[in-house]
This record gives sequence, C-alpha cells and structure tokens, in this order.
Amino acid sequence: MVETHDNVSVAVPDTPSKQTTAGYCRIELSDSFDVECLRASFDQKRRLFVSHVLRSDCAVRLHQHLAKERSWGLSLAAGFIGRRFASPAKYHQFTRSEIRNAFDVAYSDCGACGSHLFESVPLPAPNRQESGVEPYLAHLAEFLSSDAFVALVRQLTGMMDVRAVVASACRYRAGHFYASHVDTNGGKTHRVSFVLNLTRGWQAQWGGLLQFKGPTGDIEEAYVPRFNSLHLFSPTQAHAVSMVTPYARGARYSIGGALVA
Amino acid sequence: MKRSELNSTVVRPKWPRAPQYRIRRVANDVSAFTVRAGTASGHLSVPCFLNGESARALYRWLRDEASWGLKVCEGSRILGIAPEAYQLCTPKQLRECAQIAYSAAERGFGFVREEVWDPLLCADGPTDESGVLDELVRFVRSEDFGRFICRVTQCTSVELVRVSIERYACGHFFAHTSGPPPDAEIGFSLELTPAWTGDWGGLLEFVDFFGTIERAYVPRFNSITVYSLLKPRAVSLVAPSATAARYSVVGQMRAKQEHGRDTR
Repeated sequence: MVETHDNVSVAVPDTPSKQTTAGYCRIELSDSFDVECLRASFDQKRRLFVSHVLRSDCAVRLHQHLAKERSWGLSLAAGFIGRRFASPAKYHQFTRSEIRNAFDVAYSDCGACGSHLFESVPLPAPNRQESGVEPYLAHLAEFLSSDAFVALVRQLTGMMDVRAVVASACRYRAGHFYASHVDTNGGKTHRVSFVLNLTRGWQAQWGGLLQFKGPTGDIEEAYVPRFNSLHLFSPTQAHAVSMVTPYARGARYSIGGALVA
Repeated sequence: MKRSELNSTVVRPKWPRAPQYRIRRVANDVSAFTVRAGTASGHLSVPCFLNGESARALYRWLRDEASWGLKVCEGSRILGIAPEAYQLCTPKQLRECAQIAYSAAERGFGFVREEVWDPLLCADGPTDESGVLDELVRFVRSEDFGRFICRVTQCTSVELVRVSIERYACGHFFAHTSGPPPDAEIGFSLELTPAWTGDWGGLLEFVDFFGTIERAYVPRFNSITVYSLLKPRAVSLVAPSATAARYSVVGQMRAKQEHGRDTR
C-alpha cells in the first residue's frame, strides 16, 4: 500500500503473507557463464554483471516467495541514530504515524554515508539448526554458501579465500533508498559484495537503480535491476540504490550481501 | 511556451550593465579526448564553464528575483501555472499537480518542475536591455557560445532554437524521453546549483541501448553538459531529503543551414 507524504509516496507494510514451504525447488545455478569475459570485467572495473544466473524455474520460485510469501522488517539508518531494524512482527504493528516518522528520520540525514530505508529480512547462517527459522530462507542461505555458488564467485572474481555469505532479502518500494556507501562489516572481512536481482519488469525511470560512483562523483554506471541477474563488486566501491519513485509499478526485490573470507 | 500565454505584466528587474557583470565563459579549451569521448557517447560535461562572477550572479538572480511558475506534463499535454497563481497554490493542490505527473510517468512519460516565466525566453532575439535575463539570452545566442557548442559537437555552425530556465524541487522529475524534437539536435544544460549531492537525485541521466544508465551527471555548479537529443535521458526524482533546489539553464540547438546546406 502506498500513501503520499510530502509529495512523495511512501510505502506502508502490507498484511503478512501466509508462509508456505511446500513445493519449493532446489535452487541451482544456470549452466552458461562466460567466465573469461566476466573475470576480465571484474579485473578492470572491480565489478561485473551476470544475467540468467539461476536456473529459470528456481528464479521464478524465489521471486514468488519474496513477492507473496514473505513478511518484511524495516531497515533504517540515519547519521545521528545509526542503524535500526524492526522485525517483521514489530513492523507490522507500526502505526501510520510511526511509518511517516521513519521516513522523516531517513530523509533528514539522507546525505550521510549509508543512510537508508528499505524493507528486509536477514538470512539465517547456513546449516545452523535454529528454531523458528523459515525453511525456504534457510534453503536460500544454504545455496548462497554452497560449493557451487562460492566456486562461481571465486572463478569470476579471483578471490579464492571467500567461503561464507552474509545476506538479507530486500524489498524497496516507493520512497525507499540506500544512500552512497561502501560495504564494511565491523571486524569481518568482506571480500566481495553481491546483489541478486529478483524483480520482474522494472524500468529505469522508477528509480531503485544500483549506482556506482566514479572518481569525479558522477554516477559511472547505474543498473536497472533485471530479473535473475547478479552483481558482484568490490565492497570498497562507492555505490547506492536510488530512491524508488512514487510512480514505480510494484516493488524491487533482491538478495544482497557479501562473501567473507 | 508561447508569448501570448505569458503574463504581459511581468516586470523584469533592471540590472546596471557594467563590464564586470557581463556573462562570460572561461576561455579554456576542451581537450580533444573529451570531445572524442563525448562524440562517442553522445554527452559530455565541462566544469567551470562561466567565469565565477557570472555564475554566482546568475544563481543569485535565480534564487532571489526570478518569477517561477509550474510546468506539469501529462503525456502529450503540458499544463502551466503562472507565477502569480503558483504562489497561491495550497500544498494539497501542489500534491495533486505532482500526482498528475506521476500518473503520466506511470503510463510512459511525464514531468513536473518549475520554470522561469518571462517573454524574453520566447523572443526571437535578444533585447537591448541590461537585465540579468537579457544578458543570459544574449550569451546563449552569442557567437562565442555557438563556437563552444560547435567545438564539443564537431558541428560547423549552430543556432539556438529554445532556452528555458528550470528548477527542480523535492518530488520533481523529468521521466525518460527519447527521440529528438523535429527542429533541434543538440541539447545543453548549464547547472547553477551551488551545492548538490547525488543522493538527492536530480541527476541528468543518459540511457544506453540496453536500458542501463550509462552515465548520470551530478549537477555541479557552473558545469555545462552538452548532449545529443537522440540520446534517451531523464532528470531523476529529487528526493524529499534535498535541502536545496536544482537550478539549470536548458537549451536546444540545431545545426544552422548555410546556403541551403545542412552543416552537421
């Protein structure tokens, strides 16, 4: 649901969808990558873009899960308050006033490095037995830390020491954004950042673009989030997700995170 | 915007014409590399375009004295609100105007922004008067400016078709357009916002064949971006977090016909 606030539409949480784990297929990579060309791109620009990264039916199922079966929390960061996360249960209880306040806080310090506002759910650590962990999210986390995915990242980036993944499922709707930042994780060693796009039919004019800054401060490249595509990039590259416009039709879904040593 | 649509009682402030206030550009050459890159990509940006005093004086005039109306594009129709009526609009009315543009953008193309309303911008030639706007129009019609455009576009000769002065505030945008107008091939945008950060939006975006934004220029003060009007482009939505408005002088030019010959 979208409301208008200060001339920009803002997204309010919708009713949590019914969770189902039935019928999910094993997530697998597709089998056609031009490794040499992609590796050259990473060596040159410290970032690369891969289309059709998952097997088609896996990508479709993953999108279905994110679009219809997920409950979302709210991730907010602004310079003076640091990072905040509201769990799905808590976010669903937000009043309209609290939601507007969250937008006001995010916008009040949008220029601060890493200010952001979007909906997200952290993926569990793979292969850990935790009660209450949703099976499909656990399955997704296992795939991202699987030998197949890690080996692909090693091949494409040359980072042979990457071994594990920290990630979140993300949803950007009208008014959401992630200001320019570099990826750090306290003491952990982020080696490669990634974004797996799972949005269908997105258009450039709707915002939500993954932007990379050049040395002059201009945006060197900004990518439309194409369905079933993968971005791998050096975490030290300044990047951002531009604000999703009020006239965007739908939400922007992705899995974002990093591979650590 | 036709002259007949403008309020004929608009009074333009006079500005004493003294040599130091003439609008002049910095006479540094644009490197051949930049020109080649611009020709290949269809756009380039040159920093520090005007001399400092000219740029600052223009900005002050835009900020403090210009009369701003609202322009809203609803697909094929453009709606204008004159400055006097615009100042009386309530926040609710302004939101409705923006929503018209958003709905149009959802269907394919739309924009909402403020523009300076002045008959001089529609005139066929500059006046003899000495106001800031007169100086600006004189400058963009001058041979010197034309020489600069020819240098960076590698045209032989160009002439100004239209010029407008635009301001984008929070919630304003220009959704992606492609295809040149029938009477112009070259566009330019002279940026006059003192301090802008890319996170506020308002970026001049150019789209490549694959739909990727191949370049998005932050509107740096006193830079000029020159581009082919064949290139799909947009001005991204200005975020609610922006604490300033984005000012620019935008124009379109065509290669001038000489002796019946196209000089492109």
